Amino acid sequence: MKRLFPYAVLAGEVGLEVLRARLDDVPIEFSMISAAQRTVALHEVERERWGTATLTVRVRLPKRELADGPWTNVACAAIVSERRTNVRAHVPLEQDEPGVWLGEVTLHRERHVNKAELIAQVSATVDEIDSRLIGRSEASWTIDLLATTPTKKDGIRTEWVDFGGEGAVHLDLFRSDPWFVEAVGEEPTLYLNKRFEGIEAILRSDRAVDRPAQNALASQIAQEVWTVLFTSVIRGLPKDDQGRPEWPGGWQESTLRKMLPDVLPDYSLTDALAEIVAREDGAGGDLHARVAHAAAVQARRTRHLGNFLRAFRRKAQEEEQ
Amino acid sequence: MISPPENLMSLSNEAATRHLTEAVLQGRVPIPAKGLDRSVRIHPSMEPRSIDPIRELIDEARKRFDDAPTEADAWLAPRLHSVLRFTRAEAADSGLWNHLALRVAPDHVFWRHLGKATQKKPVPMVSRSRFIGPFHTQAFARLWWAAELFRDGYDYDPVVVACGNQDVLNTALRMSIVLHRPTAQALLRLVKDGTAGAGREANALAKAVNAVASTLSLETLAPDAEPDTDAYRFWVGGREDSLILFDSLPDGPDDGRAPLDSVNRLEGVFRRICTEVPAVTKSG
Repeated sequence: MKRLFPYAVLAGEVGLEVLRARLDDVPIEFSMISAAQRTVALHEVERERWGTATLTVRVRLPKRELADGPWTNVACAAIVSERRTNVRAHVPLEQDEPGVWLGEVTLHRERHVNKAELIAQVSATVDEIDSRLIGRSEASWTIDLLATTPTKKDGIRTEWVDFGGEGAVHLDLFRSDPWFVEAVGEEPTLYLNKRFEGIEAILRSDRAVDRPAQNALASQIAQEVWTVLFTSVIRGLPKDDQGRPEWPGGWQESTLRKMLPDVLPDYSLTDALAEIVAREDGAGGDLHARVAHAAAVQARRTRHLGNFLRAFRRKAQEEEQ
Repeated sequence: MISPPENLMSLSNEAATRHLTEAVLQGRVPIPAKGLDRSVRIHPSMEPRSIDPIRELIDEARKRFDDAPTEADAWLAPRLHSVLRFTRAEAADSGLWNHLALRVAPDHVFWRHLGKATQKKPVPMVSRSRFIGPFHTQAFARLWWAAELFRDGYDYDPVVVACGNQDVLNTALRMSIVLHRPTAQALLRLVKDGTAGAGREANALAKAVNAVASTLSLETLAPDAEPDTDAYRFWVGGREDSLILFDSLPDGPDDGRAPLDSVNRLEGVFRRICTEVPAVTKSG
């Protein structure tokens, strides 16, 4: 709770943990829960068709602060949500011992598609007003319905496809391209062309000697991905009644939040959003160059290209000797 | 003349975008059905379903609301919801909505969403986001989701109220506060009884409640009951055996109503907000 509130909120940390998980009442392997990554990987190959997932959740509140503070009727809840299916389930937890709250959260397979977010929220009576929000977990957990190992990926969804093959008609136009970025809809996708010789060998190689080329290539792809995402997001920004741009939510919003500080470093995030729309509508000026720069930062071009060039020259020198 | 497809399929965003050129959106060039059909796929988890009952609804809506397409929303939303019987996971697949809009009923999208000619755009056109777009904007997804989020259990009555007010459809539908069923039902009570009946008032109220929800846990104040997912599944299973009524409302999935105590409590809170926020009251 970093924002300013007109009443007392918790300063101490609200800690959220998933202790156990069961699929259709059968416990899942402990390795599917990663506290470090704050991820539960629910999609197991052996049990693809599950109906419900039940998570045992524990929340730790700053005990002393709560005891000394002005709050009464403290309540703690877990909230599971997924934007794509408009699900938001609010599950009250029960106090197990002072400062520790426990409960079970149930997810239904047909109400989720991809990833659900789990957070904890604390409310209390403050200044005679009931149910004031006084705290929430700093970081959320991700309940991943697609991943098999519990990793939290910030990356884009990636698919290997033969662009000229059957079932890839929508990519046929780009059959000679090495990759293609689709930045419309709920989740952007990077298609990599299996047909393009060498690209799969390099990107999937686990040989150390290939590493510099692999990183440089991945970085170039990433730069293009970020550029395409950013450009498509600012074209489709929602506007309020006065025509001011609004934060779009989803991957669109996280793209903006990641890139705007590098596109317009002198502006606050909100001002940068308004400015970008003004420039996009007007002449544009150096906007495209700035976007290219911000995309390169995201793609860590400097480091990866630098390493690649160094390795390349070293190899050339070795061959000369 | 290209015949409509037999079954509802999934059409990728990329293919849909590529074929929606400005000329198509202006209606000067027909929807490139052949090209689109090369890109459609069968939905991975759904049994094949005929488009006939959907077409029947679309045609009837056109007949009933010929002069006033906007008014078709309130009639169509509950019936479309009842005909499609998607699970939430299915409804999250934009491919189905793309196929509906581009191949099953593009005529409806043009009829309902053709914009007005402006100085900047002298030829009227349909916004691309009505064909492929977010759930609260796409021509059919917005109706389905309005029905799903505003119904009170099996009762579609509140959906008719919500979809009869374009401001509720356009503003409240995209706010996360309406994912809490008692909040949605309490809001609609005030729209229905006229307290916040006009578009501008409904809009201001939704925004005020949204602001209140950033410091107040409406979910703690007015607990919801967990929806009965078995009842929903049962309803989905009955799709083949249902007949859509044109003159009376169908019943939705009987998965439990928002608890009455909770709706009553929030109604009280929202009434106070109405008196405190000037833009919501009629004189304001």
